[in-house]
Amino acid sequence: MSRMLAALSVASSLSFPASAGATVKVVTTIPDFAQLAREVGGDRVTTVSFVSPTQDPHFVDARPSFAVDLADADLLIYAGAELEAGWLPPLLRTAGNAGIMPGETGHLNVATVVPLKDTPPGAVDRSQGDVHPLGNPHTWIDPRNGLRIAIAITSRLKALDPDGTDAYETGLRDFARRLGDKMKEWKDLLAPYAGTKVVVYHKSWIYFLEWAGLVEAGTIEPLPGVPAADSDLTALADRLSGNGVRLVIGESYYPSDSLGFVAEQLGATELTLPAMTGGATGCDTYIDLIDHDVHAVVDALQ
Amino acid sequence: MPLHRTAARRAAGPLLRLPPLILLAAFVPATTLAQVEPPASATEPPAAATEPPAAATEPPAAATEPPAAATEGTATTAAVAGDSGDDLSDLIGPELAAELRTDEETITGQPSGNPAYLGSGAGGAGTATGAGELGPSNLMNPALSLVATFGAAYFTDDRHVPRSGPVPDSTGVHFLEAELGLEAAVDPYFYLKGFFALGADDFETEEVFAETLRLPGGLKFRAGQFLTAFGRSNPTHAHVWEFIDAPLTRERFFSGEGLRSPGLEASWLTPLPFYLKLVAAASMADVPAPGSTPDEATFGKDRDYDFLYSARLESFIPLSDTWSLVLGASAVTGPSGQGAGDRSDVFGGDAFLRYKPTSGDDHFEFKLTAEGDFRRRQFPGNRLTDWAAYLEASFRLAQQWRVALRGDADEGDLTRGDTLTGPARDLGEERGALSVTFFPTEFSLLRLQGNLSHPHGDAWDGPEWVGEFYLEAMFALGAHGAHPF
Ligand SMILES: [Zn+2]
Repeated sequence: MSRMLAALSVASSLSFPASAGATVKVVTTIPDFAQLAREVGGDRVTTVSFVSPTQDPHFVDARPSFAVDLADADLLIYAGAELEAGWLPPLLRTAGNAGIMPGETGHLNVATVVPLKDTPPGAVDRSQGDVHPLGNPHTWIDPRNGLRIAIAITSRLKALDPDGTDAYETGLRDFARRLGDKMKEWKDLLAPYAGTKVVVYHKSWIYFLEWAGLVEAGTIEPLPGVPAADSDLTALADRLSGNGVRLVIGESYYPSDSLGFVAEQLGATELTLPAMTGGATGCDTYIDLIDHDVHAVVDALQ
Repeated sequence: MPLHRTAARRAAGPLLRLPPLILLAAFVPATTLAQVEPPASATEPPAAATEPPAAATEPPAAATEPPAAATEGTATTAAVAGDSGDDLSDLIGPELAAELRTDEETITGQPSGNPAYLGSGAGGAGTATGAGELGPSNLMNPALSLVATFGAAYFTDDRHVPRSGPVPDSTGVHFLEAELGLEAAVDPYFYLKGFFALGADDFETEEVFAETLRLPGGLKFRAGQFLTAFGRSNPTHAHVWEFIDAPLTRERFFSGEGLRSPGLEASWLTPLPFYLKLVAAASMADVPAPGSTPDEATFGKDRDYDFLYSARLESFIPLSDTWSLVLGASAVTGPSGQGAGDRSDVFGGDAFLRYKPTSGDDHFEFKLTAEGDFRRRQFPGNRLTDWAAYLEASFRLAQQWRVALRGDADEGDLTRGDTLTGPARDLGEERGALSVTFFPTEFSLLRLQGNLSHPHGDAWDGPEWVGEFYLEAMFALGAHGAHPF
């Protein structure tokens, strides 16, 4: 019986690196952080990420196997600002790994190392929907934040594995150079469309849009976390018609018929964009992801 | 002051987390504690919402003092930071560094100093303004929640099998309970949780326990009053159920309130590449009693120092990214409360199958839960045995809708007969339930439920069939609780 369990579990467990001992085990919630850690750490790190790139990161199951990965992790990286509040905390307590507890070098809360947007100016309550009360946690999809996260990962890896300092700094420089080149290219591509109005499903694109010079004209969700009823869709379309909205953007885990309806009413283009590395074909790295999304936006606006 | 830890880490190698580290950490002066973030569920205190964003969160004091948890990196960071802010340019080149700094200044409206992402310790300690000026600051308040449950019920016959716990027991409208929850990290080593049931005219401590956070080797202890880790239903609180009432396994053996008492629990997450957890506990034998007569109780204390001993083995099998299976086996033994030396045992097995897709936009989810428990009790001159089981299937049909079906049954000796040593009286019941739940958000629900109950046996003199209809409303305030798997 137990042998059968072992066989079944090992098949889908990614937790044991081939060459254990020499590497830093990085465990992340969303796959982007894992990919950034690999950019910086190369062979010196092994990574496991919990959230599938096509899954809504607000609603993830606290699968007990995640606790097993956390138990022997050297570095935990998560988005923070309560994005993972519904599932990560009990796993962290179950794992009981002192090295990745809050306050430790092995605990990297991304929301503490990037400048958060949408921080509520005053008190919030849930009459405003399932708001993110600490600010918007969907930070990673702005390449400047990608770079900040990579720098933070570098600092942590250096502290955890001082022998790798040179390797990590080299990894970071190489990543920064490639990303920097791409950022210039993206800026040129996006420049002609500065100020273009966009409707999004959930407020998960503000970092990307502001970086790209696009303007969020509205959200399909009437309130954060509340699905749009038909009347909400019509009201949104009425409110924004004639406003020159050209794109309606949502992730694949949001209802595409809502996106389609609003796009049609506004004469805009519906665009389902991946928000996480690996979320679409050709998005296997962080740079590829941003590249994919920039090109998708530009192609739709041409 | 963090030198102890730094030294320990250096000596042990960065990738080792050794017990001596824990011991050493215990001697770190109390000032360190203030700099440790509370765990994520209670993470940033409410006041954090008014904080300036993270890049500007470094308080002036922190800029001159390295973060507590920073180890080797501190030296590097400090050295680099002293380097007239050129650290960022060194790492990523002057052009990109300038771009990041400009962006930070735009967002925060303040000059970008030494950004948090350059640090190797805990970032975002945050500056709190206006808190604690006339008294203790509320920044360290625990996460608070209140879950209020109301129910209305209609029974086709007043003589239905009585139920316990926060469930309507008669036709009419009922305030079932408001569960007050408080939880937070006590310090870096302990996490405290308290759940209190406020009823219409009673106050009950459901659970209050402290659990360890940083023991090595996958070990964890819980001390206090807690629901015994037995089966799938017993450790849960009513507001996470798919039905207004408890399954018959819990109802018959442990009461709707669940088996709980003060004690100590040890759990061990085995160091295997898959999830296998062992839990063992000893707790007082004074527990909520199921049923309405003393004979129906599973446990009771004969002496002040009577304990229940329980054990559970739980394994998780990720069949795929979308299918999960949890298998468990539990046992609990203790005095039957009927006379010195007489014992009761309950054994159970459970399985939980879950399907949750990791793509698509329809929110479909499927859960299947099964549990079967067997009880045997020693009474003076007599021995009573019975069993109970349930099978429950739940379908999330849309983001806001869930439908669940449950079949449960119990059978066997419930109480002693008229002559105490004579044949026992048995009670059996088969019950089917259907519930439809509408969740406007994660924080509220409305539920319609229908049960058809078929009790029988020597101990039953009521009707053969009873229909039970419920309407439930539940509202949750406060901290965003985590969802149990
Ligand atoms: Zn969100």
